[in-house]
Amino acid sequence: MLDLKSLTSIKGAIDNLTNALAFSEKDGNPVLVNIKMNELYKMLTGHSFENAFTVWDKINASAWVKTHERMAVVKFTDGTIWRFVWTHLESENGEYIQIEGTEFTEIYTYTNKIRLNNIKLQEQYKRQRNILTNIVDLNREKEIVSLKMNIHDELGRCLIATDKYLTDGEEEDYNELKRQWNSAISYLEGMSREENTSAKEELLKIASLIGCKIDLHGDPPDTTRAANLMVAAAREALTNAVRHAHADEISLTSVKRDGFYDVVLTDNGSVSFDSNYEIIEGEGLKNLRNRLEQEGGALDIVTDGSGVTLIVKIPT
Amino acid sequence: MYKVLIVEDSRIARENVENIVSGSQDFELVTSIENAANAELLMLGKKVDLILMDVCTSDNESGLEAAEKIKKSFPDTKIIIMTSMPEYSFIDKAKAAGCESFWYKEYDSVGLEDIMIRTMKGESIYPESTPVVQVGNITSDKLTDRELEVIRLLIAGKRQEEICEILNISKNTIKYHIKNILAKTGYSTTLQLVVDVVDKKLILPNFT
Repeated sequence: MLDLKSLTSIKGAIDNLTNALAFSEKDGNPVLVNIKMNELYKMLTGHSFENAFTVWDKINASAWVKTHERMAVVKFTDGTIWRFVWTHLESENGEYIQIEGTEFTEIYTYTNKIRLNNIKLQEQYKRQRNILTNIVDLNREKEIVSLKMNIHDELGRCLIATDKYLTDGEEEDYNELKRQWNSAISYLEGMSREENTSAKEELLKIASLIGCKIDLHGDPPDTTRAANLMVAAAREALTNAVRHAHADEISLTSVKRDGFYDVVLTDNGSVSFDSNYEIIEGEGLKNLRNRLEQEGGALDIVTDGSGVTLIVKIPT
Repeated sequence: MYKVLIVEDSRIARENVENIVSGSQDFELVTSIENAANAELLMLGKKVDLILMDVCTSDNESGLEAAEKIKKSFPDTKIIIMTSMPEYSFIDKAKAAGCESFWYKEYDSVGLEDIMIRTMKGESIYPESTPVVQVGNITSDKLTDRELEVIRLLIAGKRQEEICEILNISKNTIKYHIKNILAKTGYSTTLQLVVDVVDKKLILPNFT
């Protein structure tokens, strides 16, 4: 048991703390409450510190921010912000409840400033991302506008030339005038046609130009992303088939299951390997593997007696 | 007749170039494609003497990367890079890839057909400089190569410590560069700077 002198000196020490501090017995009866805690509690309720459970209820009732059950942030009428923490203490002399308050005003002000700055940064970042994503499309639009202006000029020139020809044209001017009009009309026809060909159509066109056939079987891709990856894999298979295996036909089979397209690519090439033969990945296959893995897919290269098979996993 | 392959994903721009090729007596169009990665494949089965290659092509395939690969497999095929982007590194990258010539679609004073004819005669025609764009208070030619490198890394989202490592310079030097760039351009933050630089297409992160 501590004597009175010791108790007084402990009380003096905790009164000097800048934090608010109170110890109570496990039933809530206060044992030691420092001046700061009493001041704050009086500012909050008009009373002196009372039973710890009642105090905690009142702190919680006035809590401005409540992060979890044993922590509450309170804004006082003098503008200061305090964070209170409830701690259960166990010692050889018994169980106690500690309520501690720490002034939070400055930290809160800075935290808030950081939070607002972060929101601002996020917005700027989003804007930057949008610009980065759309930049190429925006420039294409600009190119198109510039070409449309050229077409406008071309038509203007045709009209002036026609006017001149009708007024005092010579017979030999007719062919030049006809050429000008044909050129302007072919531009205009082009403008009204459908947009670009798809990645698949372009690959089929190239395969046919170099005398190779692509047989497509199974589930076609639903998204542009999956279609582009499938075409990239087919392009690689086609390149290898033509370059190394002298093939004139490749087959692509795609099956959609469990969130992936399982794609198998084989060719009718003449190169045969021992089944233990290990393919050395060239730049093209490496790039394809990296791209597939970045997008959550995978690439396997299998060699058997009849040649090389690419087994590709593409996320749907 | 020289055989020409066009790689251009903007349809109207492509048709414009096709008209130039088909209107010329010296050139014959093999075909036009939209994706630069398909060019090398096509050349496995078709003879091509000249490629007119756009830089930013479909499915984000870079014409410069494709050109570099083609030059390794088909060194005799001549390549003219075509772009409308004022990205400052494109000219150097085209030269490094071994491309014979370079044409700015919107800014060049020389016509494409002229460049095609001279390129096939063995000339290498490059613009003297990248088109100049306004960046804050200055024009882009007032930024040094080192400063542009720093901005490129900032755009790539690198932190100052990472930039120091990549460029092998001290933190004080990087701070000095950034301070100078901001003072010249008049921007108060690097974020404002990079947004403007990307907006003006002086640096295009996806195609370099």
